Amino acid sequence: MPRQKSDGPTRQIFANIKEDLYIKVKSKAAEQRLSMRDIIEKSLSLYLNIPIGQDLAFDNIKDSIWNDSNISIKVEEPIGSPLNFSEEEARRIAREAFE
Amino acid sequence: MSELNCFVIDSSVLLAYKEGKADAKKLIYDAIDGNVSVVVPAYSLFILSRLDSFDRKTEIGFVSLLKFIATIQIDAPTAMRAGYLYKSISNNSNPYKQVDLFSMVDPLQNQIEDSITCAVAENENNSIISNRINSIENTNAEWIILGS
Repeated sequence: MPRQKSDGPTRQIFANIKEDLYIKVKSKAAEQRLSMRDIIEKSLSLYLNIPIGQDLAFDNIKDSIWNDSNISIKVEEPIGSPLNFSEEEARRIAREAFE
Repeated sequence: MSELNCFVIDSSVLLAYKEGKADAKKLIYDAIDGNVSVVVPAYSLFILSRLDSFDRKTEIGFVSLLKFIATIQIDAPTAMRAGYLYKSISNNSNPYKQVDLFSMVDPLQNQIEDSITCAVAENENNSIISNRINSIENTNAEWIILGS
């Protein structure tokens, strides 16, 4: 199968993985006519909960604090309304609110 | 365990942070991460929140930030020291009590805030970090311009 061209910049990774796992993946990849790169990219996307093929730039917009359902509800409230965020939420908002 | 450096900041630093100024971001990120201790006088929050540009998103950002930056209330001696500092400059700077009808900014606002910031810093024995030049001459507090 011809190698798919990458649309954007890429990074090279190197890792020693268990041999039995590698052989099984290689075998299934050949069966499904997928490259190891496709398998690894799909695995990493699943790990990050990013839908396969979704543009990561779009994902960054989606990840904006203002798209968080809890925060977007607060934005709609009038100025001066009470705000109760956990320390972790507050840390993220404090760092990203003015990005 | 070594003590953290502690600084008093004013509204100009918070505005610089909102505007994305790199030095302000570094200072505030350090405060959020607990690498430095930063306090802000409550009066500076009044200055900030009265601005037309202070909308709900700005409020959410700063209220969150205040979990990592302590607010200083001024007690009676600090309030009186601020008054003495303010009187010393206002007597010198505008002897004829002229009013600038064309200025878009409250001409006394920075002087009032600087008086309070200096009095708080003197009381806390801390340095001040600001994004503007100090209008107070006879203060014992060290005044550091952001990024210098």
